[in-house]
Amino acid sequence: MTMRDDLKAFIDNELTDAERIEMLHAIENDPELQAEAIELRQISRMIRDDIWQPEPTGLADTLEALRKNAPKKPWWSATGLQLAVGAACTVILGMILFPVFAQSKQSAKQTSAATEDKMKAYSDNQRQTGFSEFEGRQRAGGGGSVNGALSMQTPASPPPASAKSQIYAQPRFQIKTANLSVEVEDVPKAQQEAESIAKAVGGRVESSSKNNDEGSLATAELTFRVPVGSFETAVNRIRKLGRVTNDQLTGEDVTAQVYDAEARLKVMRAEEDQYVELLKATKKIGEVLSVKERLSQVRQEIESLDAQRKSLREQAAESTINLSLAERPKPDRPRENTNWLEDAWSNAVSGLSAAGRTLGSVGVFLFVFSPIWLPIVLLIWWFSRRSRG
Amino acid sequence: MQVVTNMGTSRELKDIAAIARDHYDTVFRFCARRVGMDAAADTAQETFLTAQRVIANFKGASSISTWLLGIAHNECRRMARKRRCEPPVIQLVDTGSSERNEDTLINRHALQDALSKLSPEHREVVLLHEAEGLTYEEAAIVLGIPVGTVKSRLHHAFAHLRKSLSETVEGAR
Repeated sequence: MTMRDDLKAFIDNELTDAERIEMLHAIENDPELQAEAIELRQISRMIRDDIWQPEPTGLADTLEALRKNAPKKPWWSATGLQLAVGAACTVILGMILFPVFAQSKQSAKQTSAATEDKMKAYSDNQRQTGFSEFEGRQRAGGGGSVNGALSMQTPASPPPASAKSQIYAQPRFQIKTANLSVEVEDVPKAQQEAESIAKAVGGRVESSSKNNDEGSLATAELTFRVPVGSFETAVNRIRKLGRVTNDQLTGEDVTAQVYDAEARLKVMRAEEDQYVELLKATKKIGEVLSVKERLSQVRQEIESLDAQRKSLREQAAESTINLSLAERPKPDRPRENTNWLEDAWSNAVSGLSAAGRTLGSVGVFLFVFSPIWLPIVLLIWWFSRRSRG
Repeated sequence: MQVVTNMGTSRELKDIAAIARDHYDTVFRFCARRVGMDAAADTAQETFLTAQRVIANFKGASSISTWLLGIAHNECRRMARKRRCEPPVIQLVDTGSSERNEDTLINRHALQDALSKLSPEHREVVLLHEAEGLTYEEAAIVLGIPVGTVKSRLHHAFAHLRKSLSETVEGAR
């Protein structure tokens, strides 16, 4: 399998990232391959542009045929019956599960505290593991900065001679994002501190919002953009603002997309040059117009590719930190029992409502099961009347 | 493997009339390019009737349109056998954007000739990928062949097209 065999798949964006990068380098170094790529693109584009598009007819007939051919519903799928069976099942399940549910509420409260502790331990562990892996990778890359929206990582070992290895020796582009949630004592103060951290490392606050309504806990949402080299420092300092409840670091490798866009740009520019030369040599008005039209299409594609490439590079040049600050809930003070009459009243009302609910449930249960017990009761009543008579 | 992302609820999925409304045009064009306009409506209708019978078997491993085109492919073959149709021809029409310089750029008539010289297998993959806009994987699902085979057939089909076109240019000179 030669590079040429993959050229069509490359044009159709059907190669893997590694294969695509390899192909891009081959195209850059081989003008013949480049010319072939342009030709294949032109053929493909012409087929797509000029393919016959038949006007569809017969949708109404097809819908009618589908309606006639629709399978008949079985008797048990009647809506009323389904609803009745569903209601009966719900009532029975409710009656069975009601006592279990009341107990499970109590146990859920107990387990939630234990789960929270486990989550914290897991989160701390994740943070440490993530960072050591991160640091390890960065050391291997030989770079000084650990985190960054775009970290330019270069392998420490000398690049091998093969083409594939040369590709991986190229700088790699990664868009990195940190999502942090921190619980703090004082949200406005922590927000100020976070903003000053971002400014101190050379970053900027992209957006911020806060909620300080009375009766609810104060919260703030901030988004920072910080330079690649200061990402880790900023994240570490923000973590120290309070108790970290959520800590996620994500990285998207866009190396292949960047190289892909760059190489496609080269191919498109070569195609543009070809059209410009052609335009100079063309004399007939019809031909001039069609070449100009194609040239304008190519230029539009070039602009779009260039914008895509620039956007990726810009995204990768800075890291993003999304920070959620929340006020730490204060422990509730035990309530003094000052109004015993009110308590007694509310207890009595809730007891009455519980009794009403139970009676209602029994009523519904009896109604649903009436096809079973009602004939038996009627039979007993009839026999008893007959024996008396 | 492409996974269906906008399948909707299972109730919507089972509503074959809604599926027909959404995908009829695609299926009709697919059929028209293979069996011609006269038989296209009948073949498209057969496709949806078959889909209605076997919709319970659809597991969402591919998109619904790919699944429908797979059925349409079989229906077209059945219809072509029944009516003894010629193999599909990739028909290009003048859309106003196809006038090219005879020396360097591609001439639509030359490309039409080159397309008609392709083998039926090559023509089929070119139609699926270039006309219907399917990915290699979707084309492989429709034809029931490996993705590698689609890739190789497309490569060879385009190699033949290039060769035929360059021969035409040489001949014109």
